[in-house]
Amino acid sequence: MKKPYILAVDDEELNLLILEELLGDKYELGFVKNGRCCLESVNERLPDLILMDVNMPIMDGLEACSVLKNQQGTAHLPIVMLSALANEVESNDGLSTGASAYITKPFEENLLLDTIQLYL
Amino acid sequence: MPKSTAIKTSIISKVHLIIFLSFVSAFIVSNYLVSRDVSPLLSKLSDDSMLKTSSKVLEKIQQELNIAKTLAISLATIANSLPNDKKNLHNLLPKIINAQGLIQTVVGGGIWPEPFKADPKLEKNSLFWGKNNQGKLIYFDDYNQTSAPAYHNESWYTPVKNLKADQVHWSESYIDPYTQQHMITVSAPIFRDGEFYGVSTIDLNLDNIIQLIKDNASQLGGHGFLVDSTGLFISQPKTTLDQQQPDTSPLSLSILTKNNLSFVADKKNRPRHHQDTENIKFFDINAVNTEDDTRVLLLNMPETQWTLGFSTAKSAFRAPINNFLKKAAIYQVVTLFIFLTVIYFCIQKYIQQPFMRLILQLRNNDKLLKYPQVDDELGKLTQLVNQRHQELQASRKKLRESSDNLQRALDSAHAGTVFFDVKSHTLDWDEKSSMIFGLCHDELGNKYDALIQIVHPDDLEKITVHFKAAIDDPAIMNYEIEYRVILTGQSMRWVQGSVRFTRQADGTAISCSGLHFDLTERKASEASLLAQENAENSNRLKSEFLANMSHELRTPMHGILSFSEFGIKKSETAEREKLLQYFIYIKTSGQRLLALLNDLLDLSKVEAGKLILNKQKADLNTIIDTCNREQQQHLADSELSIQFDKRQPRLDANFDATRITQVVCNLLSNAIKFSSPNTVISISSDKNDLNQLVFSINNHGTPIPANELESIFDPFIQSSKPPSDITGTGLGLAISREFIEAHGGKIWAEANKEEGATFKFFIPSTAKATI
Repeated sequence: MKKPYILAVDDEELNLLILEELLGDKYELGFVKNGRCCLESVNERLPDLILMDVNMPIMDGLEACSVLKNQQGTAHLPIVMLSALANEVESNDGLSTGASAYITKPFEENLLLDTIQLYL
Repeated sequence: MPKSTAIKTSIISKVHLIIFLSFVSAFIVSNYLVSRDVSPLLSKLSDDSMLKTSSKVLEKIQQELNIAKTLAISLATIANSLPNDKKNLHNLLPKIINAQGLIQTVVGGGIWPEPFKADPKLEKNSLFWGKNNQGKLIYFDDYNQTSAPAYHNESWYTPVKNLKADQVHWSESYIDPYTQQHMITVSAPIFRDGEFYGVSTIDLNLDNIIQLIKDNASQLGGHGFLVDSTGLFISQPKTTLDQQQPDTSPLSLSILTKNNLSFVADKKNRPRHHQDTENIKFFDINAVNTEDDTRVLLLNMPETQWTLGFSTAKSAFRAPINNFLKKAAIYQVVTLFIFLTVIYFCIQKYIQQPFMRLILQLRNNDKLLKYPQVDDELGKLTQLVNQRHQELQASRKKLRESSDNLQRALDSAHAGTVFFDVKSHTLDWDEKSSMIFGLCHDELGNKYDALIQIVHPDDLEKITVHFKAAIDDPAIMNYEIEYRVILTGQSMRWVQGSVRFTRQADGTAISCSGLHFDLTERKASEASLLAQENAENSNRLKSEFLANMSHELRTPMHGILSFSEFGIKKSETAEREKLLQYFIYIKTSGQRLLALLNDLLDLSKVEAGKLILNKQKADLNTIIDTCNREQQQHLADSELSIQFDKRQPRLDANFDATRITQVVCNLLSNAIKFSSPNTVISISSDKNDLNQLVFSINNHGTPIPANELESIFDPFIQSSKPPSDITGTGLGLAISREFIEAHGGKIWAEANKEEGATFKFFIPSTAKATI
């Protein structure tokens, strides 16, 4: 069985390393450093799920999410926000753009795995 | 008003005066013209009257003379036809002589034959009759007496011999020795058979003629006279019994000597008819001892060679003229007086009284003028004045209302008026303004000085410099100024002055006027609002800061927690290198956490005033190079390049190298973060004329809005565009500013024209090293 393809978007290399460590065995992972790279990557290859950081240079996660959700062919993609911004307001902002879930960093390993499982 | 002024300025008085002067002038002119034109006319009339009278007198004298002449010729004719018949002659001759009767002037007559002609024996053989005192004709034989002188040699006889038959000779006038009568004798020749036979004579009494002249002279109001051929006066002016003596009165002498001699001489040679103009002569004499000029008329009588004359004093004929003129003048004066009186009363009634009534009404502030005649000029004037009065009342009312409204508006705005006269440099304001300034309105001298004294020292320049500059700037029409005044009691009040300039065409200010507002309450509420805003802002910034901190703390914490979790889980299964990698990640995250905490510490130190600089000799260029090297990876990631312009190879000075490195790295890091890909970041360093080390870094990318060029140096603030694009604590620039200012330098940002921004700082190069 082919592994599901997950695109991880984060400007912090360390965070990508953590995700690789965590998900690398179960999923095929793609890494990009900002929203714009994410959109380009999605155009090339449609992922099964996107893990999106919020605070990024060039294009942030909220904008990228909003673009994807309003774009034919990508609107159905499940997007899980992963952010160090921990306020309710910020999580609401994230969800209002059409994201499926909003997980604050640092997160429990199982929470992320369960959430990914849920939306795949 | 003094009465004299009233009279001087009164229109009515002027009208009166003008009319009076006009009439006086008319009177004078008319009298002058009358006297100029009428006098000669009347003089001529006077001359005509004299001539007429004289001619009449002359005619009568001529009649008398003709009678005498006719009688003399008749006697001669009779003597011719009745020769030597003495008896017949005695009968006939007296009848002829006495033909005119008792009252007539012929007083004698007879015939006088040549010697020995009538009777060869008698030398003297005259037949003569004369009238006695009773007027009875009596025969006189006295001339035939031998003792009597021969009559043939008498002056009345001899010249007759040469005359023709119808000619006569007139004797000189004489006083008859017998009758003592004033007489003249006319002689005619008697011819018999063509031969001179003798002379017939008629004696004429001149009393009638003299009386005639006298009467007519008195009618003319002068003198009349008759002069005979020898120049003796037959008649007046001084007819006496001693008539044969020449009259020597001044008047007579004047007449004869001065003017008449040639006249008399002429007439002897060339006898003419008395009515010929040559026989009439008018002239004026100014006789001695007479008060006035005398007008003389002489008439020549060619036959008798007499001269009839009348003289009248000019005053005599002028008197009626003068009387006439006097009367005319009196009539004129009376007429004028009546006329003036009528005009005076008309003016009084129709002009002065109505005017005075209107003036009185105006003076008594009657609301509307009353004037009975609507249609005349004053009526119309009254109407217009009333109309204007009503308009004035209406506009006054409007003005009062608008003034009240304005005052209410000013009161409600707590505004006072202000007026500044540029030329006299004087300031004026109303009572409300005085209240705003807390000054007693009535006791103010020069209000500009009063204001200067109470203006807050820090705001004095706004009035003494800035406001004056505004006066001189032609472009400024409206000017607003806010300043503080110190009230008595040392309390402070904020005042706003808002004025509009009045300028000449060339822009020179004449004055300005406007309003004063008490801004104290507004300022206080603004201040409290600002404080509130600041507090809110500060809270918001702190919240944002905390949120930001949370984010920044969570990122390394996430790494620490995640990799330590992986380590714990895989401590037994994982390879040694893998575990080592986990520890390295944990350490990197820990270091990042520490750097963040250090930043916070630095800032709190600076804010608490506890920053201590360690100034030692260092090279700014070296520091810049170090920072560039450190950022190589980031530059490569963002596809950026750096152009470093070193104006001088080394920039050595005493400064805290650690802090300045932080600043340079921070600025470079920011420039990288905000740059668009594939652009160049320009860095330059130099030492300027003021011995300052100057650093400048310029990037191309997201521009900084102008209103944020200052605020980005505040703690927790990042440029608002685009906030989500940037990672960081928001402390870098705040810390940088604190460090640079601690060195005595300055840091600032400039917006580029196209895109991106330029950050510059300088620090002094002359600081001493820290010991």
